[in-house]
Amino acid sequence: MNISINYLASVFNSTLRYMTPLLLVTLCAGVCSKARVFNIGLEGTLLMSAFFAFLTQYFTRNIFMAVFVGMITGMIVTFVIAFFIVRLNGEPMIVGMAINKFAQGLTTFLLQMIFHTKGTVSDTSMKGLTKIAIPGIKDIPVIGTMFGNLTVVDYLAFVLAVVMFIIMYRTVIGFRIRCIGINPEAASSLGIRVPRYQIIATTLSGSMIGLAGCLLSLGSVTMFMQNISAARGYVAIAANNLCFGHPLGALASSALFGFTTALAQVLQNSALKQQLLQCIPYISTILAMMIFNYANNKKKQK
Amino acid sequence: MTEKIFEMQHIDKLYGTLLANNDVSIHLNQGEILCLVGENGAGKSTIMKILYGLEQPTDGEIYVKGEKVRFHTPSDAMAKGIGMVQQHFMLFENMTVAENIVFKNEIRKGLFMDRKRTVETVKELSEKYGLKIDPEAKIEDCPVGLRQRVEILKILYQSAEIIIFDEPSAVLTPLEVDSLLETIKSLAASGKSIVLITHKLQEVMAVADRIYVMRAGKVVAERLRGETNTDELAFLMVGHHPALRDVAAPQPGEVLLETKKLSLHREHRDILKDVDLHVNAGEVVGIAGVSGNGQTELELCLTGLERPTEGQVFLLGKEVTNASVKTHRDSGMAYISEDRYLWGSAAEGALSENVLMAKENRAEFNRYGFLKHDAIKEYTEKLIKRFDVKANDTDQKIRELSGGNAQKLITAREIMMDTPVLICCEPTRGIDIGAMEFIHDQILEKREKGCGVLLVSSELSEIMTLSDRIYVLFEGKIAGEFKRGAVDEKTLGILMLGGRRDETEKIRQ
Repeated sequence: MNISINYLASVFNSTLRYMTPLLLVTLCAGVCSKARVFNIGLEGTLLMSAFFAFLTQYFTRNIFMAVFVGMITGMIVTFVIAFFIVRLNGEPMIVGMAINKFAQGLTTFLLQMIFHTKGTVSDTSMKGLTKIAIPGIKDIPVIGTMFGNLTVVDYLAFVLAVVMFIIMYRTVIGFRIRCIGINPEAASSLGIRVPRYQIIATTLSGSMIGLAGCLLSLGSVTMFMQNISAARGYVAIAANNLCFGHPLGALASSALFGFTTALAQVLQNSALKQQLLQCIPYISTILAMMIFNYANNKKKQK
Repeated sequence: MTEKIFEMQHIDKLYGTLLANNDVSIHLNQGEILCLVGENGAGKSTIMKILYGLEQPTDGEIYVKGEKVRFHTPSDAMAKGIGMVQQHFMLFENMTVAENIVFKNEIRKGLFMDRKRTVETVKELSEKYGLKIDPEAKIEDCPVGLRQRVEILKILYQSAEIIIFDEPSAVLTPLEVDSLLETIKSLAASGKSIVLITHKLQEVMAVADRIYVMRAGKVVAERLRGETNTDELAFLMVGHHPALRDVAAPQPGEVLLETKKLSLHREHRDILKDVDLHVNAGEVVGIAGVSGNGQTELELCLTGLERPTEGQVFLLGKEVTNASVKTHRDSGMAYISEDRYLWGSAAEGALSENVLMAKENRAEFNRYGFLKHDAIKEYTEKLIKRFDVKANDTDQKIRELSGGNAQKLITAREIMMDTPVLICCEPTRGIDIGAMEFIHDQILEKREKGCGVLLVSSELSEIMTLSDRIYVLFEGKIAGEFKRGAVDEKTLGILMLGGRRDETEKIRQ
């Protein structure tokens, strides 16, 4: 295999592009876990956001409208999940799985109804998210490749990680959300309306899944295909576990997944079986979690 | 000058068909320490929960500073300056002390937390009331006594005038209790009015200005401290005089339980070091010590829940070191654990299921792997009756019982195992006098039958009354061994706190 510096730069670039949707979902997972709403419906939320963002763009050809619809979809679905779990006391596992299955069914069904296809929809005349080419950088050979082909939302994801850190760890509202997650009983004993906080916090964070959805269907490629979310919602739960819900940690844990996915992509031309390669991101997630938990337990014992 | 800061008139509280409070009228004066005493289930916590807005009265009126009020939530009560330190702490484990204290009334800088001023404010508050804490310590690193202090500061931070303590000493070690009582006194001296719910009469006599005694939902007596004594209060609480215990001389037989150089190292520390002890047939052996000096680990090592690093454990002459819990139990050991919900029972399980535990393979309850429900129910009912457990029926969850009744049921189960050796740890922690006497009787009956009982307790009086022989445990080592009557409380107290051995006369068997 011929490894040149340009080659590495393009691996770096695809790491970034694989990483950002996951980062956004992980940030939402972080808020959910901090607020003690066990949300495994991220996958379905992501799928629906991607679909409706795509659909809006297809019909309106207005990218702002599409992103807006994507975010609203993320919020509505997350609201439904939170409402069922918090207010109606639904079993989180079942609520989440129901949403995931529903999302799969709904998107497949609508795909069939609207586009008369079971697989992939793309329209070359359709434009995706605006790509940002930073003047000055894009022409530098290696660095230009490293940061090429990234959209506004990709950059926004990194900004949001920092913003979420400030909200969760520096503001009063974030402090309360974290406290609620640690001990909801104690919070309500002091007159905090715990369910309200939980629902509002998670619903708002659902908008980030919406953004992630836009990245999937309107990002580096403009297309929608069945099951486009490809288990990112589940991986986000793992990534969130790795970083203990910390927004800055989410940068690292989603980068790990982004890198391993890019690696699997790169190795496609090698002798290894493709199905095996596709396992790399997931296996590395499991390994990372095991190592982290082990190290953590060690630390606790001391 | 004695202004009534709150007054509750003719309060009734009905839970289903149970009248938890029956025409209760009480009041609290400004700057006073008021004690509410009574057995568990006497209604003292209920009446205070009503005042704090956690429960709604069925009937009756509440006045705070002369104004008629009705609290629907604790926030309403807090707004009127009433705070309550509950038995179960309401703290955020991985947050700092300061963050816990300011929660809900955070010190802000716009949208942001003002961390510097938070710490300063909490520091000032802690100095003002002489409650020493480190504002930046994490709650999870604080021992129970400190956590309670945080709870108190939390209430003070919300500028409460009336502070209610619900059985505050139940979770504390004797040293921590002393410091708590000092705190209560100094809070009253600084103008706060205090209600202390307790059933420990020494505490009452140490701090109370005035005392209400409650029994079966009613106030049965009101006394000033000067005009009463512990005997009278105990009489009023129970309704009869507690029997003076006259324990027959022991008739020790052969050694049933023995440890040789039992040691446990954990995290580079000696939790237990060279513990040699033995329990003979027909005697109760007490382990005295301030909690946290290795008692818990000792009981875990003896019962097979923990493996000792070194040393041996013998049960009825057979070595059981490192053997499984089942082997221990099968070889003739029953165990009443220190934590009645963690080890002692399945809190969400039914009474009958809890009674069945460890007996599920006996032929009387089990036929070809199927449980005999009628037999189990009948047996549970028998135990409930014989051990005087107050319960609705055998399908009730054990968590729904009061602490005393749950403990009675666990005691019943373990005693009915009918083993030669019984290990009981803190068998009466946090339960009322009636249940305590009952459990003590059961322990002594066991001894009469020629069984060996190992009693671990941080209640010195319990150890002194029941034990034929006492070991003192300090920092994981045996700091002394005494026969009944050969030692007084003071000497034990010194040894428990690490006093030197030669300061006291040691009597070896």
